[in-house]
Amino acid sequence: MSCTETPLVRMEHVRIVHTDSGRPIVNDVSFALHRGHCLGIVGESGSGKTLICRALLGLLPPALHAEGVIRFEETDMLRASPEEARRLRGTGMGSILQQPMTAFDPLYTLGDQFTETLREKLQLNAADADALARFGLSQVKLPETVMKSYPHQLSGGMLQRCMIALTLALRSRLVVADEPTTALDAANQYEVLQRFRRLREEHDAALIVVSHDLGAVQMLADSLLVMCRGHCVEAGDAETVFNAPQHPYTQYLVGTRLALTRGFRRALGENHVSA
Amino acid sequence: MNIGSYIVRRLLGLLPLLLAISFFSFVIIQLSPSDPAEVAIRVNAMTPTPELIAEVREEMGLDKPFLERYLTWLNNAVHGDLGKRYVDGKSVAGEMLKALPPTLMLAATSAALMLACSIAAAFVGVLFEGRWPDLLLRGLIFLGTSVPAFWAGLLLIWLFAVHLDLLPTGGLSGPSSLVLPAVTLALPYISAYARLLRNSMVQTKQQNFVLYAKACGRSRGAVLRHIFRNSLQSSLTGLGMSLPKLVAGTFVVECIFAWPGLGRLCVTAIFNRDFPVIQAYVLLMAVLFVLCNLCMDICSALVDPRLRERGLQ
Repeated sequence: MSCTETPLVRMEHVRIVHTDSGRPIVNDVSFALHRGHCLGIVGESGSGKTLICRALLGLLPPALHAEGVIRFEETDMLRASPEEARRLRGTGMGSILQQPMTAFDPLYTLGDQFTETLREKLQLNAADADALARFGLSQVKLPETVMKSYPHQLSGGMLQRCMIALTLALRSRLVVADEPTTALDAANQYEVLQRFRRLREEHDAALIVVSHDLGAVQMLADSLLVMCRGHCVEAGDAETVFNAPQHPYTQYLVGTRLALTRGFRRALGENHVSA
Repeated sequence: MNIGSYIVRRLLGLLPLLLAISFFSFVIIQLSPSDPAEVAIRVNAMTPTPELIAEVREEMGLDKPFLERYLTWLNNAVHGDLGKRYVDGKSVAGEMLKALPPTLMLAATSAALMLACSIAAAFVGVLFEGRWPDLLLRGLIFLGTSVPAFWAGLLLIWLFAVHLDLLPTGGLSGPSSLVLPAVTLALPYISAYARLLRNSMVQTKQQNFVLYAKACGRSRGAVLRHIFRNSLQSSLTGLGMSLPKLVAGTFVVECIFAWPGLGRLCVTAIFNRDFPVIQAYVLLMAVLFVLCNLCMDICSALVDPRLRERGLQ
């Protein structure tokens, strides 16, 4: 990366360790992410992608802890107090979770949950929070009736967009999206990826996209981190990694993706195949 | 969804159930092997000769057909007349109304105590999950569940009434006399509900929306509030059963503390085979169970929008 400003997120030799047994689960991960850029983290399930994100957010499961350096803006996340980390979450680091269907409290309307969060995080009064929530929804092309809906009345795609709407309303400087497209059908996937693109372009937010779907990552990421069994096997500029994968695992990933899309495109009647 | 129409629907559905309850509480007494006329004569210390029995049967309307007797009884019951006691001929409804206030007072105090203590204990358990306050509470809960009410009651009397002389040993004499019976009565329920709510909250804590609330940087209090509301379901269902039990099952505690309540009235009636009282008690308790369950269902529906919709389908 050619930027000279200090990065928004920096990880240096981060290890995530099982506290009791001392067994490392994620080894030696380093990367830097700048404003307006997008990092893709790919790898099989269980390779530690989600844990990296949760270490950054300061929300590792109680049995695990992280070592090394994790910096978000000026804050040393591994030495920050729980209160400091909490204040950064939401406005500093927004999150899009893996399972949209269960990401909202089933007992409250989405409007209640939006305004509650916005009032608390941005110190707004009820009317302003309400207006901001409606603005967020309009940004992701959801009708205002969503405000009065309960989570079980909406589809996974709509709830996914609700989470995006909330990060937009909170003006999160970094958005961490964990498997943002896996729970969605193809049409919704495309829609969501478009939203992410605009999030970067219009709000200058940085983006971390975790996925095992190379297609989604390829569409968004500038740089790439390839994880395999807790190790970072390849890192660097996204285009380079995609076009000239060095590590056998990455070659395998890119290869299977080509094979998959080739079959898919043939079915669609296309001849042109690109990586 | 409109909660008003939900309540109206549930109340209408209750009518046939209440009718069935009244029928069964009538039938159960009729099935008992002793002849009510004979019992009525015996409790008044008279010799039941065949002529006397026939006379009393006619007087009590026992010679009429079964259905007619049921309908007469039901009609009277609806109008607040539950018959007369065999023992002294006093009105059953009147005697029950006299016994009801002390019982309700005791039950309400216990219920309030139970709710306050079990909710507080559950919160401590969740906040300190796996650490010493949680472990200590779990030990106390285990103790509270396993100690029988009569023994706990006697221990409390020994400590607070005899040894420290702070509270009266029994009887109904002002607010201080309420303390020991209420604590004794509430003790097993506190343990049960503290454990139920704590475990439910520990489970809810693992849910995805809690992680999302934390990822949004919500404060600890706000996250706890969401966890709490999502953990109420099982406790509310349980309360629907426990609240009427507090009213019905206070006999042991009422005896230990010489409390002039409903439980003692009924057990005395059972020993005397005073059928009208037993019948009225069975009816009252059944109605109480049904109403409490309805109340808890309404509370659940108020808490959970998904239940409201299901109830309207």
